[in-house]
Amino acid sequence: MKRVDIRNTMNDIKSNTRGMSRKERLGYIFAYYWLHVFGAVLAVFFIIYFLTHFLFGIKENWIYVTFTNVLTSDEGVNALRDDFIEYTGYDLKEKNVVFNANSYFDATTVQGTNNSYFQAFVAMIEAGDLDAVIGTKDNIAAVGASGRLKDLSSEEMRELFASYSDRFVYCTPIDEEYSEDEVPVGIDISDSSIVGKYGIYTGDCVLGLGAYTKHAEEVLKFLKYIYEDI
Amino acid sequence: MEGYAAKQRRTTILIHVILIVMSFIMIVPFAWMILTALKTNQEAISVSPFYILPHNGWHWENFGTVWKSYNFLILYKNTLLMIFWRVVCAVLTATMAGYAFGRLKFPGKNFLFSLVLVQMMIPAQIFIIPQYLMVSKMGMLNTQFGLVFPGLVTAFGTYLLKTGFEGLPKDLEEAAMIDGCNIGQRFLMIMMPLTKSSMVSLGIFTAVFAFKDLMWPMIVCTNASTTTLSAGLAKMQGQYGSDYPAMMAAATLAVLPMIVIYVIFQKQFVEGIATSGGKL
Repeated sequence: MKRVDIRNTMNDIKSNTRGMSRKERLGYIFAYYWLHVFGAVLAVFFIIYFLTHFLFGIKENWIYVTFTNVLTSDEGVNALRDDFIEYTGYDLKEKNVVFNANSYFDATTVQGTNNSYFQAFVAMIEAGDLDAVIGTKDNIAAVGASGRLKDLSSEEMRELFASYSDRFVYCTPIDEEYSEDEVPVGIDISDSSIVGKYGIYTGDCVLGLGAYTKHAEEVLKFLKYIYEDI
Repeated sequence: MEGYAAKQRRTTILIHVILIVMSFIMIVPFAWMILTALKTNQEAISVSPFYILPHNGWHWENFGTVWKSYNFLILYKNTLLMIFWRVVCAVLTATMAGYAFGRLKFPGKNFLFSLVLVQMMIPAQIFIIPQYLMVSKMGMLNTQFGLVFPGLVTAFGTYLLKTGFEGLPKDLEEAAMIDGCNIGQRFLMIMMPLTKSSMVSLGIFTAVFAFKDLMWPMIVCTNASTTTLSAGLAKMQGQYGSDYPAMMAAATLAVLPMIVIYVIFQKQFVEGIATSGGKL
């Protein structure tokens, strides 16, 4: 079986194009080796593209917050994000701040979770990228009952969110082995700037922490901000 | 003889009636979408749906409103680029893998192919989290590559192309070998052109599924500047939840690229569906 050898191919091109002008040589190469040239150009393009993103792309978030069932424009959420970044002084060249208002589901019913929004939401939580979720009391309690939100009475969370314990929202976990009693899975923030200044929600509003979040302290900063900025 | 002709005419009429009814069923939702986009909101929700035409004039400004609210040019660009790269990558990788599984002999071939088949049997949602983590760790969130990533390889395409290559006569490849073609030349010059119809089918399937893909763009693209039409439309559904004319205007604008693609590649679409025996 004949093997493709780059050195032999180069020698073939050299010998076959001897005496040709540059234009003729390019024409020859393009006519006989256009596929090789195309492949090489594509490979170089991809290598540069990957290296640029891999070396310089932003891979982590300062905080990722999902606002569920926001039925107004993004303006309030965008303004909140900009003001929060200014407040914390986060360097966006280092990490991202994501405020996602594109999530619509009703976790209280089976039908309400049978959609792509909920699947995407669960994927974000399971991947550990979603730090906080904001929504109505019933919705957050239902998400919490399925074990997808942090138990705020757990050892790692208890101290951190102690000052908000009077605002805790409770639910009974579906997993009876975890607990048969009610556990706190959310913090009522109905009197914060999210409802007042930014008008993102009009009624009750609760914040829960993603079950696998690594940025609980950033969520705490966010909580402080929405109460300082009323 | 006359009886036979009359029976044949009756059959033809019956077939045409069924086809007309089916066409009507297919067309009505589209017509309803376009005509609702031209109504006022009050008209859209208060007037009986059987009054399909707008009563108070044609409100073309609904299109202008949604066009201004969302940068449709960016959504079109992102969607078309995603479709293009997914089709190119899927066809390229599936053709090579299909050729290897269909024509070459190598150790572990059956085991590896069974792994491909297993992938087809597992729900796509299972792969979402690992795929998201991979894209995230590569720093590719909110990029075109992030959108294309799940479509880089396709188990279905590999299976389709494998079947296509298996159906070709061995003599062709043997003749090429006698003429001195190496494996690459046999694949590129002889075998690949003969599976054009399977490649076109795969391209069409990939394009349609890429266009319809909602969950993945919603996960990897949180920026309005990098998202696709489907995810943009989902956002509009939230924003214009009660404004049906605006929603329908957005939906009409969103389906335009697919209609244009269909009109251009109509022949290939029909051939592709006939070849693969699938439905879109």
